[in-house]
Amino acid sequence: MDDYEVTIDDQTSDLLQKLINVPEDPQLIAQLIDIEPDSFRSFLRFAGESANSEALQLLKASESLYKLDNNPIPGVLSEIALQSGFEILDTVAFRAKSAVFQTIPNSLDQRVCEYLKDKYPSGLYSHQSTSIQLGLENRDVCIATPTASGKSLVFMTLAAHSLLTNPNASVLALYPSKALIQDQLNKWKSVLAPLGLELGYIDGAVPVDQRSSIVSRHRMLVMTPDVTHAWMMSHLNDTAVRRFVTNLRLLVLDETHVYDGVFGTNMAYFLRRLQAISPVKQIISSTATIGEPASFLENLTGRRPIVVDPEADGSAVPSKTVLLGRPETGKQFEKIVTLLRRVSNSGLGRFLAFADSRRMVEQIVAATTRSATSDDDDEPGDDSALETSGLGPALARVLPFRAGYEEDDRKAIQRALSQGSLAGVVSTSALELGLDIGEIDVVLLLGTPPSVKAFRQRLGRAGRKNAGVCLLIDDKGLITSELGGLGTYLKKPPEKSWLYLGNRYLQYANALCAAAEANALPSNIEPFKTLPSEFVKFFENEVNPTDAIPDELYPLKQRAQAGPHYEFPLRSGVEKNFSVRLQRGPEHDRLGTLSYSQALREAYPGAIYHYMARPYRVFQFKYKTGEIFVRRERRYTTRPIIQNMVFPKFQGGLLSLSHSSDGFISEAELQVSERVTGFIEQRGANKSTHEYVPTSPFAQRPIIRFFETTGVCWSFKDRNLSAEMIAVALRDAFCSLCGIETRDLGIGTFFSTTSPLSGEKSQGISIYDAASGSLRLTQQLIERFPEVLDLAATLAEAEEPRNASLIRSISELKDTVNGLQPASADPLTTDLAVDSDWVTVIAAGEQAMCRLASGAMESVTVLGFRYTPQGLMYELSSPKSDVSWMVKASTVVPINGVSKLVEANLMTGELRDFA
Amino acid sequence: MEKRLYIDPPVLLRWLPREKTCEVLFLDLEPDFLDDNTIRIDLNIVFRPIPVRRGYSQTRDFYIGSTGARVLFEAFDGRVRSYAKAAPMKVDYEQSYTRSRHSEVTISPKLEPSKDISLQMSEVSFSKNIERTFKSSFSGTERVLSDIDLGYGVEWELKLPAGQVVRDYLIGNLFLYVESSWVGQIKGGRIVVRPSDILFFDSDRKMIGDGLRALAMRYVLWRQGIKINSKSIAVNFKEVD
Repeated sequence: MDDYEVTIDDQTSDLLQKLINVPEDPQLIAQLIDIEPDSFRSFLRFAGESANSEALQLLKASESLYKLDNNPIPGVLSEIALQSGFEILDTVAFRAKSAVFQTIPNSLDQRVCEYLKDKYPSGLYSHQSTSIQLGLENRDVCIATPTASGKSLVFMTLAAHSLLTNPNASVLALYPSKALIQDQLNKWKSVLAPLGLELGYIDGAVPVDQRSSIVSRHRMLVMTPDVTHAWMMSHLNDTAVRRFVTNLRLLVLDETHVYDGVFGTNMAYFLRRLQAISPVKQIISSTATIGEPASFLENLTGRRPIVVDPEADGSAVPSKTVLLGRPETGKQFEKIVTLLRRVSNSGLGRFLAFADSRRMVEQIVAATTRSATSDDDDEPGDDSALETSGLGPALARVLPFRAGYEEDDRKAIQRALSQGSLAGVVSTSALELGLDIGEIDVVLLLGTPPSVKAFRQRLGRAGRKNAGVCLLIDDKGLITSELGGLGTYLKKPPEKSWLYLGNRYLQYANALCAAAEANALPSNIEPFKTLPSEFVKFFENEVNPTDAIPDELYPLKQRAQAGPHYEFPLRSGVEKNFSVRLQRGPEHDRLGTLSYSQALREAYPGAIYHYMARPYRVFQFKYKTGEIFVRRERRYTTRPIIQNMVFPKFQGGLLSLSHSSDGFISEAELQVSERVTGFIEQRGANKSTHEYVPTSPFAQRPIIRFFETTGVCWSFKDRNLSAEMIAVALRDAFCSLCGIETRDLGIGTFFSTTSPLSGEKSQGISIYDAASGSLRLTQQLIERFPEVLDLAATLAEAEEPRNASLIRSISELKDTVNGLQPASADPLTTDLAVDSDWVTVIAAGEQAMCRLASGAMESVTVLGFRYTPQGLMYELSSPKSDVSWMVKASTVVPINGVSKLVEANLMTGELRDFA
Repeated sequence: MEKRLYIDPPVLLRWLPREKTCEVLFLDLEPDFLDDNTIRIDLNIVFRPIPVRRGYSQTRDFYIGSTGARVLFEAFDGRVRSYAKAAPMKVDYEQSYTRSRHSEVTISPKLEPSKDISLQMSEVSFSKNIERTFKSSFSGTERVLSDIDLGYGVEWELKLPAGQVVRDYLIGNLFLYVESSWVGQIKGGRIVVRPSDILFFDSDRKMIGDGLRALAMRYVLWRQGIKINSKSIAVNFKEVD
């Protein structure tokens, strides 16, 4: 588009044409273009036309038009936002929609049909009726209508029908969180109980010794996929479990959009494994807000469902107003705290606020409740309020919510919110799901949502039964800078969910589980055919071992000795989990769980770890036992000093490459080392830096996360183009464009002895996939690099204050990238070359990474190699001078581009350069 | 010696406003130091019709623009000596004058670069003794330029005479000048330009929307994120050594 020209779509053009022809009557005009009063007021504020008599006439007309569903909350919230330092830029209102009913399908079991007729005399919503009809025709159905449209009733009805028409059939409903199960149980009971059916539930909180008896007593089970994978699939020898699984006819998957990234990829494998051992006839799924649901579900389940899409929605929808705000200049954190304090005291109703990081959620609530109670640091060790209420500070009317809380704490928060004793909750995406926490009147999005998908889900939390309002704070300027602003953003389609079935680690961990399951029950490998062929090879090799297990996967095999199902949970993949404990004399209180990568950011030695908005100091980090010990601390904050180093495998690990004489950009396999070297502590205005030097009270074995993944690397003669500032801008733009969370990507610099262009050295920066084994998220980054650069430039332009050097650098990078030529990448060779007697080894004196028995990685220096009856071994430099440290060669990994490799003849001891 | 004038904020034509797509007016200024105490400022007000392209299936364009403006010049603690006088601007009117510059002046946008950003500031320099011709040409209906001498400043208004039916839309530049003197040390002042109306015109530049209709049409566009700016352009200037 020409910069000096405005383009409008046909719909807007038609509307303008109608306006040209309409008589100049305010009422007629207001009606014709549906002027919503709050939106019009925002427009007048922008245009500076408030005193104009024509403006007043139109405003009056619009107010009379909207008199029927006049909701004062948006106006009040808008005032509060203005007073808290946010500018309201736009308002969009959705008018209430009335329901469209349809008759109940009469091919349903008579008893179910009677029950529904009795309960819903007007009939079912049209999409419910259509979905049930499709289900009765034995089709796989995905109900993709918006939040609060009554999706649950569809699969509950079909479950009841299945149980009543087939006396042997069992039905399994999977919910992605324990909280959701607790929430949905009453709904299930209200449908099943009048029909004389019972259901049982099993989640992680149900004691293991009771589970088998629950399964034996019920044909209908509600479970989390986590417990189904970890417990049920590892207890297939149990008679009750065996009977349930082999009679499984209907599988219900609710909130399937959650199955994304590592969790989703594991889930795809788990669902194939479940289908391999049970005769699942039908899968009914529901999802809100994902792009291309049919292909996503096909990836997830291996079966393509019929999608009942949002256009088919026949439910009644209350009116909803979305306000778009932007922080004025100044400290944003303080503005957010002021906003929350004012909203919680305003009497507007219950609110749900979303922030995008766990740390942010905790800190915002800590600051909000502190200012609400006392400005002083509270004393460490004062847990009396926490003990009596179970809810942290007794006066607090705002509480945090995030994943990783202990069961009791989570339930207490949910209960307090639904009973109305709280003004609101600040949450991570954990509360995006359809939890019934009572009616939420106001939703506050405290930053630009990470994706359209997340935005829709969060917006859906407000106004499920009554009119709702949502304040969206566009701190990144993404929505404001977009042509069309909020109106266009609200019409944007949600992003696709991302699964990567090619991750070797997840493939192997699941193959280990599948092999264990095949030992217990006859396995039909047909469902595996919709998975990559490598998985089938791994599986067959586990059932009938013929090939050696690749070195990098061997540690997984070792970890799986005690049972692969417990060792590899669905959510964290192959990452180790840690439990946080508060020491109270001989007793320990549990303060949540974290994955290793989360621990690296939140609970490293010396860190202030926040739990329920209370600060604790980490004083001991035990990798081996997976425990982190904390004690109460004052309200300080810390952030880790993390050194991220990337080691690209330019030789043999290149996935794509574009280059010019100035440099290159490539996607490659990488090794990443994320190392916490200390932390920065802030006490009021004072900042201090703590390095883990031997004299530090927090010094211990370095905390390193070393893993293999893929990423996009670039290196140019102009070093400014590889600045971290640019990488951060590109990562943020890429995440916004593709709906990926920023925490799923990392940024690190590389200094490599090789380059994809020639044998020379290269240095640059990389954006990498933060999941061990990679999810190939950055594959899209290289494919859409010019688009990402454009968006990064737009966002940089919209940023206040303007960062001129960033804008200039992005523009220069754009010019440089435009001049690149694509080159063909080398075919991948993942194994080191081996011929009869010659093996490739790490040369003496070189740095490498060693995987310790605990699973932790440590940086080591190789002194030499030896061939022993146990196989090839390395001698490593030991921290103690008089100790000889020999380890199996398979536990030592060369660092790409750093460790020099040589070829050694095992028979003669000759060495030659690695070709 | 070269003179330097700071302007704040930097929204002149040479530093095009960020939302250039949606501006109906632009302002450019060219200062000249006639002597140590007197500054002459030539103002170039650009009336810009915003072309709107309708969708992809309909190719017929229309325009959004303003037919008049109010321009205020104030010299803080100074007095206006001379300025462009009121004149009726008739159909096919053409007015031109030629002048030669007295001094070399540089205009700098008044920006405070933050400490961690190195920023190359844009500047515009005007060389001495350059002769230039300013030409205002108006095609279309008659308009009236009126002026009010405020002593410390001057206010102009370009508008249609009462009762006149706007048939054609004005495209062009309005050149105005003002010379003012200061007695004190600080030579500074303010220029404000505000469009008097925002109207809609068809592809032949015949008016199709005014009043209520134009406001409603702007609201429709605003809902689509097309934010036609009707706010004033206000520029503060100050001589610096």
